[in-house]
Amino acid sequence: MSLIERIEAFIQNPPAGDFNRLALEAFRQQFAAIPEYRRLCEERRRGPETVTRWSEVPAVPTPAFQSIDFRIAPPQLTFRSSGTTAGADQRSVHHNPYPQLYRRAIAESFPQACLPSGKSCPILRLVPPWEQMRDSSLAYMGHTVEERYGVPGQGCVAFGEQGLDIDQAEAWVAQLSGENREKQQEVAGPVLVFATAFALAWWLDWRESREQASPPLPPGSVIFETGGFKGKTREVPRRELLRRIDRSLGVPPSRVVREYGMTELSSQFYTNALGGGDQDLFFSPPWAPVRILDPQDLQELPAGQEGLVAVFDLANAGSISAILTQDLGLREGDGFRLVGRATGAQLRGCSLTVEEMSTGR
Amino acid sequence: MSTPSPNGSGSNASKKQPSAAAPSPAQRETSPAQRETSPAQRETSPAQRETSPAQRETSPAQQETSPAQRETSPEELRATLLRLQSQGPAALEALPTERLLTIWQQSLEELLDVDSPPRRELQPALVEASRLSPAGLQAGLEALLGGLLGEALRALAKIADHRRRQTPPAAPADPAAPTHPAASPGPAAIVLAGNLPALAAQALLPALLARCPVLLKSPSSNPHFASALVRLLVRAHPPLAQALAATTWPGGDLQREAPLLELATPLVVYGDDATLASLRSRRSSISHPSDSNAIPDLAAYGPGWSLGILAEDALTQPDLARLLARDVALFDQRGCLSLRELWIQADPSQARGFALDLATALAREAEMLPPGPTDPATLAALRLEREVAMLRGEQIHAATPDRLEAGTVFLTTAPEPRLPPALRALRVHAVDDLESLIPRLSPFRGQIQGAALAGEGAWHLEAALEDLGAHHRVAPGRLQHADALWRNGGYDPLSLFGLPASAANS
Repeated sequence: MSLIERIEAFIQNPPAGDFNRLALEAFRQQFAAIPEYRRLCEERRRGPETVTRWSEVPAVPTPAFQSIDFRIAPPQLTFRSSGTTAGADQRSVHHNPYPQLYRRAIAESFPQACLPSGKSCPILRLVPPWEQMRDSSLAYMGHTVEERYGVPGQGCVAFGEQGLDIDQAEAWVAQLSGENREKQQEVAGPVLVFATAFALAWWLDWRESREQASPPLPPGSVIFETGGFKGKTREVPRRELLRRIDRSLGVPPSRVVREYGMTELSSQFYTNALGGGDQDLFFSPPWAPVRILDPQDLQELPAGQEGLVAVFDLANAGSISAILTQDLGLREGDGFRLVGRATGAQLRGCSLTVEEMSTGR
Repeated sequence: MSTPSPNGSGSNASKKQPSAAAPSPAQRETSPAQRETSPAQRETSPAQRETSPAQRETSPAQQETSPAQRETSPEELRATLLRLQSQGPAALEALPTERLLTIWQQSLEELLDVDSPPRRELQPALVEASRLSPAGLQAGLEALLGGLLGEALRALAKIADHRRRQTPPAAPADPAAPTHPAASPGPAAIVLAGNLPALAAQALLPALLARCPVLLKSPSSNPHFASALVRLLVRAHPPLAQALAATTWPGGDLQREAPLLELATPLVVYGDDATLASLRSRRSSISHPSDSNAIPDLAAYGPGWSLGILAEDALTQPDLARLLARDVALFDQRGCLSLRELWIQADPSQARGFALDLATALAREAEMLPPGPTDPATLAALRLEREVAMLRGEQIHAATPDRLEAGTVFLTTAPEPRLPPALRALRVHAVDDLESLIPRLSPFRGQIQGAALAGEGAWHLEAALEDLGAHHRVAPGRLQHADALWRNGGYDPLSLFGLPASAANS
């Protein structure tokens, strides 16, 4: 079996494999194939001959994906970040030679974390369809999720060339509730809404502005929420977002699953909301362990201390597995919590820590 | 009860040590304004003759909670602005320039003197709010306030008086208010940033010299300096209470901002691009008296940074690395006059040697002016920048291996600017040709505030840098020592407050 096949097998059945061994093999390939990465490792005096634990593998910071081509083989898929965080001219590019690992990672984590009753259901997507945005990893994920876990003919993509299509979303919800009897289909049971936090806030604004209340989602429905508000023109505190989702869509916080993922990774992290867990505590799958590192020396921090979130993602075997994100987090029990983001890189000058007058938006 | 030092702090203010340790370089590098004893310092201060014994015995910081330390309601804010508008001009016009200079000099010296009662009272809150070390705070205050004293102060006052004589009176905003010669009806509102603790003084001085009443709005995280300065000025000359106010409220309060947008002229704001764009848009919907003349209605100080250029012939200058390290380290690199990018005309070997010297000098600075507490987000950004730089093949020279905030020198042969996070980090570009630098800087027109220049080839670029908006051009080591005449952001400081330069009076 090739390394990629063995990694896929591991993702499918972690107890049967040896994560450390696979990680070191992936590192060896990446070290050999990517000269810039080799240089970083040599600066750190780390190489395949000296590294014995996956946690010793030098991590690549995500901003490096803006200027360096990390891949060990010709890509089958290429994802680009939206540029909301760093600006349109500073988009991360992640070439993925082995999309089967991406799909396998979704298959082994998404259903348990996000599907109502763990089964297929009608899915409303408030993200761009993959056909429209071929370089968006989130669009690809939504497409994959619909393909694998949606109910044929009952899903909806409420996103068009002009952006979020609220009319489409509302029509779909009305149809579920039986209000639009002409188009009513046989939809039974709960549904899944696959959305970014920003799109949800937008949708909720619309619903709340209506004089007549829009129908809620069917009982037991789940909301998959990702993306936060970084780089957006507005922010809604998460607690407020959850409260509004509950009030407007009838989905309680215990049915809102938060996802943490990024263009530079092939694996995702979820909160255990459906299992009754903390709504902001993420858990990592066995093939993508997370560590919290001290920015001073990149040493692992004990639980409760704030540092940079680092991931070793086996599903990234075709590019770079050891990733240093721009997010700040802290470990808590078996999970981790996001607490902020590295923000000092942008131009600040005299407006640093300025207490701004409101932006008026 | 503590007693104020006789005659303010005198000219020794900047020579006192902030601690029992050896004097800091900031204390050794006394500015010309601090070395020269002004007449105001030699004479008994008129302020002391005017103020009552009770006022002299109670330091401003000991007085009851200042308005700046509690939040102001929209109604209070409106009332304050209307009071400044109706009573401020007369109070300021009645204050002779010489007297104003004396009050100003004395107040700033009290704030600079770590042993003065007002400063002693202010010190803990100022250190905490500024997030600078005590030594770093003192060095920063000396750099910033030093340029607002002595000769520079008198030079700006002379220009202001000349322009006041030449400028025809404007129609007062309130018919009941007395006519005054300044063209601006006022009151001005100055919305301050939190990164530089003494920014209020730099913004306030030209307004006072133009006899424009001012409301200072501090960030609620750091209201201390502005309110202390206003209290000291008012203590020294009580009628100034009719012309000056300091206040604060948390940002983002549209209701509270409404009176400012409606009544303040000019509105002077330090903020980021989104904030300034929003203010411009909201402000443009309101008509102001100043719209009809040459006074800017909204002065916006957006994000900015500074650079250094060293020509080949300058690299052997003594102390060059130390001076540049000071330009980086002051205010922990938070100001728009902080050095962030440096171009040197050098071959790779020379450049490497110079980068090492800079790293050593930054390490020394970190001992003399220890960095303040760092926030995890900036620390993380610098860590990421270091890792990315390694991948890009840049050399990284750290001041100390285990403290990122002590200083980082990135050395690259790529000539394009790439600002490192502002945590005493400097990117050095080794280049052959300085002339080709200007086109690469043109995308940053308006953001570049200052330039430290050394060597003939660097000074040769002065006109081009001026064109890019770098109005403060000095030798290394003086970058953060802007004086009262500095056209920050391209604004003539007196024009902002109603005294425009004209062919007749410039």
